[in-house]
Amino acid sequence: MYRFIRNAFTLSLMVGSVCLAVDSPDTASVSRKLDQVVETGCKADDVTPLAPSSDAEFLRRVWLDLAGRIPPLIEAKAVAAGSNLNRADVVQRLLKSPEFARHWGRLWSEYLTDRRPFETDGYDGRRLLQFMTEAFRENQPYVELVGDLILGEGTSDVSGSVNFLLRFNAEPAPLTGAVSQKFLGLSLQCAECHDHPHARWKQKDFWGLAAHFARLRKMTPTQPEEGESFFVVIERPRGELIFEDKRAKPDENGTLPKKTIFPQLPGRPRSDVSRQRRAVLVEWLTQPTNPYLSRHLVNNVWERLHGERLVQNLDHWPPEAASTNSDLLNLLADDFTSHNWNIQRLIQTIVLSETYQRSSDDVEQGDATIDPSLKELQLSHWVRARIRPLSADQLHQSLGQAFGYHFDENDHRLAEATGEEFTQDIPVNNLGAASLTLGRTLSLFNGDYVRGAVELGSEAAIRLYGSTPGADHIERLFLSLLSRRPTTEELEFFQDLGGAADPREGLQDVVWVLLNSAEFITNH
Amino acid sequence: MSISRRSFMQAASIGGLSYFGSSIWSSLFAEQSETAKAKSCILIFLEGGPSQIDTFDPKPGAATAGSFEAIDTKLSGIKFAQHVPKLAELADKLAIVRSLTSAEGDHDRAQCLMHTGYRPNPRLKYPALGSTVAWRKADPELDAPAFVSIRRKFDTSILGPQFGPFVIDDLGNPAPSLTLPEGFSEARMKRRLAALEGFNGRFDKHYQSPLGNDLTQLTRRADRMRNSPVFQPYDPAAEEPELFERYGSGVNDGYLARACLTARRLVEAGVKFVEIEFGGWDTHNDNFNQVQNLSASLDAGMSTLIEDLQERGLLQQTLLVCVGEFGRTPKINGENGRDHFPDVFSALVAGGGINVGQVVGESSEDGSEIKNRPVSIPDFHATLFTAMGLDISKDYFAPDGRLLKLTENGRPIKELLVS
Repeated sequence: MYRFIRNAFTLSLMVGSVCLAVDSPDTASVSRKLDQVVETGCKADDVTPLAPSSDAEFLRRVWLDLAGRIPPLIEAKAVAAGSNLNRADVVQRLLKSPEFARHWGRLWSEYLTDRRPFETDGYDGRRLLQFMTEAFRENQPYVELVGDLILGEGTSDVSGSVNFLLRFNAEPAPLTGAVSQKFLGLSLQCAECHDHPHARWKQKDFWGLAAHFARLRKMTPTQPEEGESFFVVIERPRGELIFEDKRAKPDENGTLPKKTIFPQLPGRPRSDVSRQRRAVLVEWLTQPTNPYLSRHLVNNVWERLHGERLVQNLDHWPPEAASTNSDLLNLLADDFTSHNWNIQRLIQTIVLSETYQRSSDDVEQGDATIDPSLKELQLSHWVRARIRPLSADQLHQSLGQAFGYHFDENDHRLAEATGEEFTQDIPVNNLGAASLTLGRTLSLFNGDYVRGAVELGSEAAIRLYGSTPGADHIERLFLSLLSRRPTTEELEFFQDLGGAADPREGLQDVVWVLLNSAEFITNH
Repeated sequence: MSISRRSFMQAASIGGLSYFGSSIWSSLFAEQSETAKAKSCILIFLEGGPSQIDTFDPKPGAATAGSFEAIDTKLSGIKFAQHVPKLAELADKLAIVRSLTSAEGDHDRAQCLMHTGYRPNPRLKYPALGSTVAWRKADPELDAPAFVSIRRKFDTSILGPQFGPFVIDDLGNPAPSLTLPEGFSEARMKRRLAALEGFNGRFDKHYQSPLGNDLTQLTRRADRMRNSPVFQPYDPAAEEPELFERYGSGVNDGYLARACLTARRLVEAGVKFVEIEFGGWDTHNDNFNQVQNLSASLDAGMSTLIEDLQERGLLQQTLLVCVGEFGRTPKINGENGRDHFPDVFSALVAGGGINVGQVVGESSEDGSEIKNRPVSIPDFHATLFTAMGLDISKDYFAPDGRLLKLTENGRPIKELLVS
């Protein structure tokens, strides 16, 4: 067990607000408004939405998005047997589940560090993962979470939040870039080196913000015990950010005069440094009038649930003309801030909208082919669910869900499971669209891990229904992996495959095909 | 319902010879008949942005020269910085471009531009050089993938996952899951693949998506890689120890040595494009010590690669490129470093299709601006594509039906190309 040390400032923030763990019942009205915005956009552009998703479709999608894995067999079975799915109940239950906290804690740890949450040379991603998981489990108001991350102090093997600072070396410039990009959706980094003529943010803003981190110091223990590796972050009582004034004339030795940068936030007078500097920064970031913090979070959560952001970033916010996407962003951000920055409420609002619950399946079209530009329009108006490759982690958790595989989260054998994406130091932004790669396909094709899953899956079916592959086997495997029943043709098709060789091998082949199929490795 | 391109293509193919069919055949024929052109390409990507002044465009005597000396090369009057002596000795086998220029000074943006020839566009992922080459020069007989990347990862481009690279992370064991278990018959694998194709076909029909087919192709490609010995574990220290040492196995961590040797083996096996990521060039501080170390690896690795390819008779059919995403400032900063500088920087080009033994373009006396013959990144790409026998003036159609030019207004550097 690890304790989380929060410093005095964080504690006072915690006391100052009421944690709204209970869900307000009125998200339905916000979901409706969301749907109305989408509908208005569709009408204006004459776009026909796809039909609502079936229960089986919804169940699989929402499990993958909220819990990071496919639904368990028993739930898929109930839906397939025709029991009516209470979608609101499913969502409520998932939001309270440990799987939700784990999945979203992980998504956010990866997002904040651009890396997989492992122990590295500079910080301990595992502690940050624990911290984020706990935050999602408690449904900590987002403003408090941001405060905790910026105000972190202590040692990297004990404190979770301090590892966010350590990821950026606890240094002013990298932290300023990270805070602006990851919390505000702004590319302030460019202003580190120069004033861009068209950018709203100037070099002065960058360094004024950076000066709030000027007194942070990363230290290593002088006499670590054997095998011990950790860092300590402290805030010193004095010290200023000093750098060379590149605009000034160098002296006769060619050295530039030094310039002290005092903490100052964009649009504000010089910060009151009688208070802890980072607390001043947090107060500025989290004030209700800051349009960026909430909108960036909403934009980010939307991307996790729909596969694409509403806006690329907030550099040009507010936009010159309103659009469906900016209306959606405003609607959800306003509701988010007026309900105590409640992330679970935001997720619930989105996934219980009709928009999220659209189908992605065109089966009604029969053999007709859809005009690609129409499809593109439906996607950009959010009325066709996007097909998204599962992340390596989702794939992995799903195999566990289907066949009861257990493994150590920090085990590097994971790398073998789904290919190169699992290496610890690869930035996560490579994972999104890129996760369909030849390397990964090769691992699914013949990796040890997958081979094990194939055996386990076929053995389970054999134990229940005997060793001759029949309809029962195939149906169970479909429900386990694809959360639906096979059609009559599919039953025939897979019975043929299963019966083509030795029965045991035949059944393994069935599992292999399902596991390598586009239907299994995507969320749709 | 309008007729889509796909159904049109289906109709067209049923009708036998067609407009589409004939134009595709003629373009294939044109590309394959170019015998003076390179068949493959190896790109050594100097990630981080190397200092051109401290490598291939020294400024002896200028205030910006830094602490390195300039040394003579095989080309009279042309100097390199002191820590690339072997490449200097081979300069008659190189073309040096000293006037690359772009407007992108941010790593991500500049790396995107250098790889795709287009500035980053969040809605449209243009293919990297390797993907384009894999797409245009695909060889159905080849068991190895057409594009292999050593360490560098790529987003899926608009060409789709099929033309993405196979990424090698571990040079000792390039493709860890390659060998089938004992007793696993080829007939069984065939059955599996056929069933997968059928089942993915159903997915594509339901979801109006190319993804099922993409995945089937990727899985078939994974299967074929089993036949390509080049992806089996390989230890150059045991197989070709002397050569491996010349590549620089003992220099720094030996990574580039191993990567270059692997690239040669891949090209031998018919791979069309190999990219080697060689990072560490982002030398904002302590530039000179770092560049000295990095140069030692690059000098051994690239010079031996040239010699090795030549000894095997492969140099004339292999295009070699060495470039970063930008250069570094002539001005030395307070931390003894140099900062990002896209205004003017250098590249090395060698091998097939290239007129070597010359310098293209020139930077000013102190290296702060271009003196003559600016070369844009699209110009650079146009040159590389032309050297590989691809027609940059042509309109191509991506698999999703989208019109795609190989470069955006790029003009090849004529004097660099073998006519």
